[in-house]
Amino acid sequence: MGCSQGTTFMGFRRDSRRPGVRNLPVIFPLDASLSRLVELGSTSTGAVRVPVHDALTHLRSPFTLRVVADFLSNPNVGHVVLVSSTSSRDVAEAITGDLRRLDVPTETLNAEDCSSVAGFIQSIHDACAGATAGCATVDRISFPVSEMLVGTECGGSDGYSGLSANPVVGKVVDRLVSEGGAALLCELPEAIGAEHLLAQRAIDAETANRVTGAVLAWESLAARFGEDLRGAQPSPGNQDGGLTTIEEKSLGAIAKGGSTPLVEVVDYGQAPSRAGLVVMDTPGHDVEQMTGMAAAGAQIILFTTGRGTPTGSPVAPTLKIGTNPSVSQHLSSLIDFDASTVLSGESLDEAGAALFRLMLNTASGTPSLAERASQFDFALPPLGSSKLLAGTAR
Amino acid sequence: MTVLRLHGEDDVAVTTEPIAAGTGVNVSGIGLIHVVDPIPAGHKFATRRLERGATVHKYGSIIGLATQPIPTGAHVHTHNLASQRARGGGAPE
Repeated sequence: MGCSQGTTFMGFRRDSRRPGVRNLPVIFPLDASLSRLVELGSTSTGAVRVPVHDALTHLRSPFTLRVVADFLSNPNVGHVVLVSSTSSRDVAEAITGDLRRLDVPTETLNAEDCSSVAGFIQSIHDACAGATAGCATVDRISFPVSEMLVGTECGGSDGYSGLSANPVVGKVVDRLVSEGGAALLCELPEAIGAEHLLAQRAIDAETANRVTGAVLAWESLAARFGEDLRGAQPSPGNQDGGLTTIEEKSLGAIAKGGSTPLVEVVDYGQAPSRAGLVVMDTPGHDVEQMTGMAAAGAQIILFTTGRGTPTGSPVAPTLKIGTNPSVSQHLSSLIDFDASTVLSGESLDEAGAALFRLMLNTASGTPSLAERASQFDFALPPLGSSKLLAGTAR
Repeated sequence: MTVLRLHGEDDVAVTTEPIAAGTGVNVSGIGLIHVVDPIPAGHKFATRRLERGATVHKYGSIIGLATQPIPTGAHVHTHNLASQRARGGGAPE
């Protein structure tokens, strides 16, 4: 604030990545069967444990390997402890190679190298404690906000999402982009019926065609499987909140993208190549989207919710923005920012400026409520990439 | 109570608080409308009469088709508004 060169935040220098807003020690089991031992070993060490479940049964697909390596090289990750078993040792080697190329300090613990379960748990504990101690020795320095990539998401939308929290996030995105930063707009199944507005904002015909094609691919995917999205989109919770059709939900959802030109469309987990508003082709599932945005390098996620979705990314601090007074009051332990004030007279500009300040404070180290609660979720899209599912996205 | 009509072409307005049937509310760009159904918070009502098959607008864009005649002031939701998109069993229109 008050700096003539523009807005800044206090972050961590990286050699081959964007600056981090955290310097996290992260432990990641490469085999779901190791989850319990990793939990026991990492408890109370300060390390962030990524909860890995069945999604990694596809771990050997090039898509999954890429996304896991990109997720673990998110700018906020300072040190990685991989835990592998006999069956995942080759995967550990491949991911370690990727992380080392990006200068992410990485070590691997192999279950078969330990002679006892207690010894393995102890070695997990020691590795996590060592990673935490190492990460704590690094100091923050000042960076321009143009170094930021911010992810946006809405989960548990209601009739207010498109009126309050989403356009408030849109104001933050506009401000960030005006200062040279980048933002991600995702969940393309929830852009059905609003793709024409995104296409109109595209910087060139190719980008316009790509965003339209990606949205229509999700729509035709549903048709190919004989699915009628009208039962699921909007979801029953969305419908209780007042949303009737997917078009209505979509028009409110894209308000998160603000008003600047659409500069690029990228695949799931792919890092943008330029500043500005970027669309990422992801499914609509909340946790899968967060994983994709973190893999793309988003340092912070702005997550709007009308129903009170209690989720967060293990590596990208996730700020919850309430759409209505009820969710903001009743779930105050989950909601970082109450955007419902715009329903009772505060301007979008004022609320947007306040959320922008909260985002900068969070970037500079103030923990989000999800971080305080260790509300950390991780999931990959089933069957691999959204492109594989959607077929004709390109 | 705040009633929001977001765009000059919109056929619906959203209420931020529940409205009882019969209540008169002032809608910007339209004037006084008597709501004919109870409208829950976050839900929408018609700001003009809509025929069956009419396109319904919010945010200045189409949000679906009226599946039955909708009188002015009526609750607009899944019982009388349907998506034109993402229907199973056929190409999108």
